[in-house]
Amino acid sequence: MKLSRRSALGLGLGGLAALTLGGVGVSLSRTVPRSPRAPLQALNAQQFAVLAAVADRVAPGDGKFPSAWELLVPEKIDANLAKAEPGLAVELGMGLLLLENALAAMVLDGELTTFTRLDAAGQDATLQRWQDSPMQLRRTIYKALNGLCTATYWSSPEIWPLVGYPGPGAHLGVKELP
Amino acid sequence: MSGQIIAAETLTDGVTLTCDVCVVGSGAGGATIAAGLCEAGLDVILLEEGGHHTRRDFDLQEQNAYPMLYQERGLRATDDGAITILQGRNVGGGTTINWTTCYRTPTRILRHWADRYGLDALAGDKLTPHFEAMESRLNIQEWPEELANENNRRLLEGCRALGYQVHAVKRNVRGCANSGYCGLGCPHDAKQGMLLTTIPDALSAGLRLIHHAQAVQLHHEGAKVTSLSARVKRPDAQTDTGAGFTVKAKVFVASGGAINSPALLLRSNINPNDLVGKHTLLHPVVAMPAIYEQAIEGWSGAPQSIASHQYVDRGPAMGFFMEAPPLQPMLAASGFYGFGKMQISFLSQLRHVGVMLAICVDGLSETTPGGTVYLRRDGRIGVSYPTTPALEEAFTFAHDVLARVTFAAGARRATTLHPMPLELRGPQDLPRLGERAYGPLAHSIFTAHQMGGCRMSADPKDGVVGPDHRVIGHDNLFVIDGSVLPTALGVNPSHTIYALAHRARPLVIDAARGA
Repeated sequence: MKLSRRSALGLGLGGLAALTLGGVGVSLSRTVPRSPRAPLQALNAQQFAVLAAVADRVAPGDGKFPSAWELLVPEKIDANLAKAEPGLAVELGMGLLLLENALAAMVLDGELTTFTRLDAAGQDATLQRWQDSPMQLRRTIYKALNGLCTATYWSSPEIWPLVGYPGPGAHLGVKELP
Repeated sequence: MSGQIIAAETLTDGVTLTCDVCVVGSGAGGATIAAGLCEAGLDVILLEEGGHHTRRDFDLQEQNAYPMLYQERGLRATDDGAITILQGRNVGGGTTINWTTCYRTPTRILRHWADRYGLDALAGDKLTPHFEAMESRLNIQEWPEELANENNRRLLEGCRALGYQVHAVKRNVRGCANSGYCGLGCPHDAKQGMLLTTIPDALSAGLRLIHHAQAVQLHHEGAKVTSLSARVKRPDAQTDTGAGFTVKAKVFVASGGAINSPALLLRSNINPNDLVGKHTLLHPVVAMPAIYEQAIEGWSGAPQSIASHQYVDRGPAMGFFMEAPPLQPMLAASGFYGFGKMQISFLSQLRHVGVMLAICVDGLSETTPGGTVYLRRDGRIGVSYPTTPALEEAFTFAHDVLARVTFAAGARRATTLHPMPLELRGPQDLPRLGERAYGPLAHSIFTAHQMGGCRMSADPKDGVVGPDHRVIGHDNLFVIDGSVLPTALGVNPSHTIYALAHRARPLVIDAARGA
């Protein structure tokens, strides 16, 4: 997914860009860390922690369905990004930092803390605000993050039996062509 | 003469290869033209950025297939992220992963091209022999209506109940097992894509196919292109190895598709009439999922076999045609904009989910001019696709029609793909569709058909290529792929591209022999 800052500037959001860049420094010390279960290949530790928090909300798990964290969704996304053109991970990483940014959230939303420090309800409310934000950049970032987490979660074979999907087994290993 | 399949990483770094014709891209256009050139006895090198995969590599898992077989590992999108771009990146290109639907170019489109772009050369029945030749080679035949899977059957029944035009489509398959996995690579070698047809034809006539080779830049001296520089891509990723090579040829053919071919020309500072990358057309797709009482199991059976053209021609308004997609879990989920319980509650009933698509026809009017392919500052490809009131109107109307067909087909409930989906319980809820906005980043939008960006025109001041596919101002450079289409088609584009490439064979042969 493309997270184009040009789009933001096109909407006259240059001030937002400056604000968020300034806020990254504030966010650095306040991100709740997460321990990746595989060496990070594309994202840094802070970006990974924010991604993991988003994935938690996209697929929190409910007893029947596993959580995104249980299915290693953040690590799978990091591994996928490492094999894509490098610019993709750079842009996604910037989007994650913008979401986490405390200063921008305080000024724009009256939110006094970083995304990773919010409770589940607060994180849901933030993601919903970004879905419908008048700022195109926020909608773009939401769509990219939600799309990556959703696709990675639902492509996991562990999900198949839970939705009645038999998987492709019957069509694998065909020796004789029909 | 037997050809060669060469992994680019096995080439000596910095080597220069020579040939008569170098074709860039192995999809519907590139492979079809390459086969014709090889069969005419020309020495051809075909470059493909993606990998060479066979049915033994197709494990049919979405988590592996999209990164392996699609552009940007399945993550390609417009700049604003609003439109997900599904596009092939492998030997065979889009024809390895498309859903096999084949249509001849509609007569009204050919007439429009003749009227607006002077393309009399394609009008009337001039493409007929080329359609016939490719229909024979790719075994393009109507897929019997009675074999439609449940998801397509709902489209058929819903349209019939409303009195809408609806029909069975033609598919390029031979011995299809009706498995439903067309989009992940055919596990049965039944799909008659380029991988199994024109590429083997070309190889048996001496083709050198080099995979994991990205064409970076065409070098030219005045009107003549002299060489092409290429990068070697890693086989397990879409990143560079750092190695490269050069191809010198008498003639070059760009067939990378409607996004990569304009990008190659732009990287090469070739931009006739400042139109390269302009009028990029995407057939933007909106979708409506629904829950049915009966099991649908939309992952099984030919994914696309029924279509309705009831609203493909709406006069001055933007038309759309209706088809159905495959419904493996990831593709089904990827349309959902919401998160958490919202996703789970719908997708946990995946066995009962059906989806219908409305595919909007852009480029036929100045009110839907399409988008732009351009180069970003870091060299990557950008695709912008601004919204217009006509596009939003088409999306709005399409949602209404999709809901009508869905409920006429017996759906228990339907949903939109907005961030806060609108759930509809029956036709009485249709007025509620007006509660939502329609357009980019208002709901999910996809494209599986990329066209335009190197427009063909008989007017040398109004196109990128002429009716002979030759790039204006460059005698030995041709573009043969979906990028030359002046407008979207209102049908799936692969067969049009096959026919255009088949028609272009003698034009390129003559150019190579005369060079």
